Amino acid sequence: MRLHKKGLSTLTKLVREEPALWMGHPLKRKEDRRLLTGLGKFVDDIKLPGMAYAAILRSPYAHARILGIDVSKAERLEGVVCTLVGEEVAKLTDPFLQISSPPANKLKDYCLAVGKVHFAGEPVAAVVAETRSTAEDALELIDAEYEAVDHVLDAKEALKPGAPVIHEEVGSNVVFRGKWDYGDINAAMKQADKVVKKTLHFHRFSSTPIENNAVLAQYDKATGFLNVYSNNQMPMFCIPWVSFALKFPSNRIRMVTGDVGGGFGTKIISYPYIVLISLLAMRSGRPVKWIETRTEHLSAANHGNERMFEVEIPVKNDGTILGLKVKAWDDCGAYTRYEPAGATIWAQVTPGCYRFKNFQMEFLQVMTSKCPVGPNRGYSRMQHLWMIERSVDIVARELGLDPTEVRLKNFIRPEEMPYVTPSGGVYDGGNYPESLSRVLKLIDYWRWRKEQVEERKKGRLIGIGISTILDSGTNNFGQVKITNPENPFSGNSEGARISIDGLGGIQVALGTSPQGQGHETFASQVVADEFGVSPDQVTVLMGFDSAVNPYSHQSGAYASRCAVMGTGALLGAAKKVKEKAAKIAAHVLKADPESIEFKEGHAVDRDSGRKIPLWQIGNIAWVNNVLLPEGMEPGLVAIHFWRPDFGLPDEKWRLNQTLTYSYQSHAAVIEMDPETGKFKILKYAIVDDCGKQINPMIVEGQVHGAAAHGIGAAMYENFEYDEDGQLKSSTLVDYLVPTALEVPDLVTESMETPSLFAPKGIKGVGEGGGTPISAIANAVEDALTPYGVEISDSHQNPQRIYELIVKKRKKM
Amino acid sequence: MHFDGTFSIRAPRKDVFDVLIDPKQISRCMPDLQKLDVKSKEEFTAVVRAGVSFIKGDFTLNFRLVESEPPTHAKLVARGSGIGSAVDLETTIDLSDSGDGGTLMKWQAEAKVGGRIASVGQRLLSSQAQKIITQLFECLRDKFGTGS
Repeated sequence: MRLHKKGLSTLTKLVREEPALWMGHPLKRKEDRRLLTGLGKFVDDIKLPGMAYAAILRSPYAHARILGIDVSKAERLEGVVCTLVGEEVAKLTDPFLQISSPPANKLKDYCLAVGKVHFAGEPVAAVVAETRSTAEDALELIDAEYEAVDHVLDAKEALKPGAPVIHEEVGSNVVFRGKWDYGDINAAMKQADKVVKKTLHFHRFSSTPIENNAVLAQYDKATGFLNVYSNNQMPMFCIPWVSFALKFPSNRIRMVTGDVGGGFGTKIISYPYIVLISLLAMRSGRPVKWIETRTEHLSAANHGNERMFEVEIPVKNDGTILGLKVKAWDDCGAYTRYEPAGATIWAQVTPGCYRFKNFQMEFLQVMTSKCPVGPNRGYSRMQHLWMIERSVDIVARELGLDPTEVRLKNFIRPEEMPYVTPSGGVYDGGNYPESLSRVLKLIDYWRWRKEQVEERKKGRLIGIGISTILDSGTNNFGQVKITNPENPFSGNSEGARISIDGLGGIQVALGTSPQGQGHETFASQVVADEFGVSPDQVTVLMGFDSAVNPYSHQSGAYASRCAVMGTGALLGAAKKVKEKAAKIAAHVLKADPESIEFKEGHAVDRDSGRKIPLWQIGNIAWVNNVLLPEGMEPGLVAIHFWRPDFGLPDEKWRLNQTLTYSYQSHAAVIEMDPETGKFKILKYAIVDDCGKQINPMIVEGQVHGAAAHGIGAAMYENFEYDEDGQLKSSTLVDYLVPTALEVPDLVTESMETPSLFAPKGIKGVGEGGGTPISAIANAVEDALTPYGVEISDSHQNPQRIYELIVKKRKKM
Repeated sequence: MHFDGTFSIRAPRKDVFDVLIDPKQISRCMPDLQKLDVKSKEEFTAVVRAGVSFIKGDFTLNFRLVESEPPTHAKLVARGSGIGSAVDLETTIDLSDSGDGGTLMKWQAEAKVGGRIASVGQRLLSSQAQKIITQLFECLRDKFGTGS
């Protein structure tokens, strides 16, 4: 473990350790037994004595003044405990913290709408009742009177003079305006043989966790504690939002999470609901539970960022990309609940996998009368990388080159690693050409290219799309200082505790608050290797409880960080426990602590071969402590907080925004029916590289999940609003989520390029960067080559494709 | 959503107009009327049962006669809510002589529906609204026994 003394926290190359026993093993997930047998512990499984239920009245208007809300009839309904409206919330709470710069940070956001509603679905009143059905019935008895005012649904429209202003206190709809400028984009334009221009649109969709948001709050009058059981995925990160809003001391808020049915980012910004349900619990004097419905989730939880791009790409005729000039309009909906973080997070992966040095981005983030956005698997990078991967294909088409050729020409080379990007990102190793070559082989690319030509002659349209995308993980919160230097966040940190009890039992607690990713499994593998035991002998606490688990306020499941951050913290805690255990063992064995190793449940003296079991060390440490070395404190437990070595943005906003940069290459073969615009996937292949893998089975599950999510986004999932600002897809009948029937067989392969900076050479995995969205867009355009159809949208809706075909046919 | 229509009625304009501005007469043509509360000549509240597909429930609609130029023109606005939804309706009616002693009635309606009904029943909403509104005017026409 000397290795760790030196520098997990420095950006120096690490020497690999000896091969470990459990790391790299596809151990079956410890969590699955309880989850598959119905024993999972979700928020809705918790029933507290005296518990009541909440239901929420929501705005039917996209933008309207609230003229009055009369709850008297609802309060008279038998079984109703209490009600709450926005005007009361404004008196009881402070507006939520904002992380924008002035004037956007003047925005007043409460857990219920105050004075005005800003999107259809916004909460305006709440009812607590003895049963959930009574609470929902009571909503029907609330008389809410509104006066509709003009709304705006398009980011560019929202910028025009005279456009409706969503939040008057901000003065306009602009949240953030910034310019990133590296190299010399104008010189690149002059050097270019050609400048390729394109307008692109990335659509709105979200993640669809199997479990919606859920909060159960209990205010304990005896202890003064507010106990919050929720499935928030950054429960301690949201403490400032909850504590300041409620004006309630942070050291008496207990946050508990259990099993969670997926988060994917959507459960990061559930703090308005935590505050609302807490207020209701305080008002009613009862524990109050609220379980979000699917329609509430789809229409008002959070959507992914919608983004429009105007792209200019200076290129040489041989396919060399000289730079990228982009204007982006990001539509963040009606509130900034995690924004404007998304306005900078794309810059984790500024050039994608490519070597060009000249880059300019003018970025505008704008509010509209739609559901607020929030982090969503591949948050902000996905939109940016889609734009880049789409652009590369457009360049190839315009130059008459094969898209693989353009990629291979422009990829960052493996020998250039660690590679510093124009915006200061430090890529921690990877071999993009190898990844692409492997995926081409997996899908049998050149055979399909030949077949495509032959089949076209018969009128059959085959399309082949490829995409190589970065999947950055473990963010540096210093990135939010770009949008507001005053933001009190930077770096990243995570906590872990390891104890060996008096009977030798090893217990582990982490701050990572899992959402279904298998943290109990990976942590037990990491710890088992440290102590030379089996993962079965390591118990990892399920879920998260701020009264039990160690945590930092950056703890949580987000940014593909848990394997890396959790392992960093676990290795630190293991080191501390092992150092002490080694001293105790050495004392008993009369050996040198430096020569003690941990093998097969024992501390072994390397020199003499003598050993004592872990349980005996635990026994001495806790209950037989007269045998301890002189002066040593009893106990065998350690907490460690680990942080990567991160910096702050410089004056040009250069910053390494994440620690690890996994990547994936995807290849899709599709067949298009030009008579309907509908297409099917014939073959799909993926090569992923997330560094050293702790558990290849979990990694593969993540790769599959991210691919299914991306395929869903590309082909099915789309949040569309009608002209009145009503969401047209607020149930699973209209918001189509792919099932096992829609997701094709995925042919996958892994590479393992160890991270140059992260512990054990591992890299984060899980988000997947939305790779299928570009692979499929590229395949659709490729299939439609005979028609010359250009794909500028990330959502491949058959109706739209058909319209594009018809338009081209008319011109033909 | 915009709807409009024209039909002729074999009755004099004045008679037609009187029916059109009489809350009791109009409300009888509303689908599944549950309750009517006439506040004045210009204002009344109707509770109707309506919905799209499986989402059905009571809507409380407050009607106001905002323009009245007997016997040629009337404008009625309604605002209401129910089952997590809101409805804003604006109807304009223009009457003219059809030449044969009858009346030509030209109507248009502008409806805005928000909330659960709009969101969940989006695909069915327009046809359902068209059905309800058309039925209402056909019912008014039929009150005079004939028409085309």
